[in-house]
Amino acid sequence: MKKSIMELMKKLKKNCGEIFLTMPSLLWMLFFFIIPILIILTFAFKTADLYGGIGDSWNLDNFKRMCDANFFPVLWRTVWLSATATFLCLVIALPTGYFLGRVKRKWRDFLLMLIIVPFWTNFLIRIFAWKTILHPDGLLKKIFVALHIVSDDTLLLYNPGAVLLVLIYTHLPFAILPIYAAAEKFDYSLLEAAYDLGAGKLQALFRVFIPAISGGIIAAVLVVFIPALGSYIIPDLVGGADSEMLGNKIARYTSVDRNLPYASALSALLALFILLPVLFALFNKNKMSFYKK
Amino acid sequence: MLRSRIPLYTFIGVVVFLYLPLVIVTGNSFNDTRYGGEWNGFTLKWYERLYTDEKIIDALRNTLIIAFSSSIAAVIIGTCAALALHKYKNSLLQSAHSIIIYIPLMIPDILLGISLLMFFVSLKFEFGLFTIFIAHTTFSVSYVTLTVIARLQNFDESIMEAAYDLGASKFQENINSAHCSRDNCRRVDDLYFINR
Repeated sequence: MKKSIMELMKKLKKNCGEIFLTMPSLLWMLFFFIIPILIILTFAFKTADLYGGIGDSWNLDNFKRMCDANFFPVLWRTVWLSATATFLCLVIALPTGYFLGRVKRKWRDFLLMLIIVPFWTNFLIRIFAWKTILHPDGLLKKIFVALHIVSDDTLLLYNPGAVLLVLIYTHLPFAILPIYAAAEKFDYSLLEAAYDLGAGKLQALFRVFIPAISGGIIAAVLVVFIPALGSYIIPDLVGGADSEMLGNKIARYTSVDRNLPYASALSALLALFILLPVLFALFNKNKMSFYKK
Repeated sequence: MLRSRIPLYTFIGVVVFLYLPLVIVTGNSFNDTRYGGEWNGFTLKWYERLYTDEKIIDALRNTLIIAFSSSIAAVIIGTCAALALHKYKNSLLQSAHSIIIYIPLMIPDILLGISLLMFFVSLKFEFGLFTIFIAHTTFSVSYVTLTVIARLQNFDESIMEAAYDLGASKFQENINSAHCSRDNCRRVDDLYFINR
């Protein structure tokens, strides 16, 4: 007994440095991240009390309430807005990443900074900038009316299109960076080889370049799609009643129509939606390493 | 073979797309109209109003308090985490540690926020600057760790050995390696500062 304690002490002493370095972050994250997430999962099965706080009994009412007809449009809109934003970000980020990967080295850092610097400004300011531009008295509206693209009474703001535009605007660099990181390692002479072997431009692009940077593409999809699923400030500021997303519902049930258990259940659902693409990506990663072997 | 010009044009388009709104909003801050549809002449009245609005000054003070305190805390915690993850790569504790550190990067802010809200509600905590500080620090630790670890991976280990040879203790060594990643921390610091 004494011996085993001695051994344990010895082991602890040996790992002292590791424990000393690990504890601050481990404890902090345990208390302020892991436990709160578990709390959400348990609150999701509780009922609300009179004041919208956490009640005493356990049931599935919150999940039954989600099957309510007017919730599905919100869920569907959240998914398609995020998916469309992700797709369009990819469409823009692929040629940009290709260009950055190919440009001369002395230019590259500067051009990369050009992409990153706007994102040192505050997230809210970037959304607000679009709000002033799309505003009925704003610049873009005036230009569009002058060019007869839209009539005088069209609203550019407060619709799902505006939400989509701002989603793309705020997430684009997060799509460009991983694609650039992958393209930088790509050997562009492979494309010339493909041309020599008779591939057309598109064929070379889709059968050589895109498979080679697939890791970067998956990373780009994840870093755009996941935050987009949870966005709520963007639809709150530039979206209208017909562009509410899941995040707005959660925010509303925590503040305005206070019902914390229902907000927890919605958050749990959001967590599930996030887990799915992550698992998909992990699965694909394994599959790809399998092919490489 | 002629190179396609599409990538170049896309890049130029992206840069214009990214900068134009910021340029317009900055320009409009000197514009004499309410919504900036047209140029009504140069003015500084919006800045005057900003300067005299006590609510704004209060909010600015809170912003600075949260930005400073949470970046300091996050840099300390995150740097320790990065050192641990980097030094003890193969231990079981670190593989669990790394999962806990990296998951917050994957999760949307709102989920982190709501879960902390529920946490504070169930502990009957009073909401205020302190709870904001905790939330911001939690959110930032992972980013600090990610940035510092990237720098540590490029760090020449032989510098540490040289330090041992010159009689440095383990603790000193850790401090010194923290020094080497200091530039990086500062960069993270700036980043947070601007984003908050």
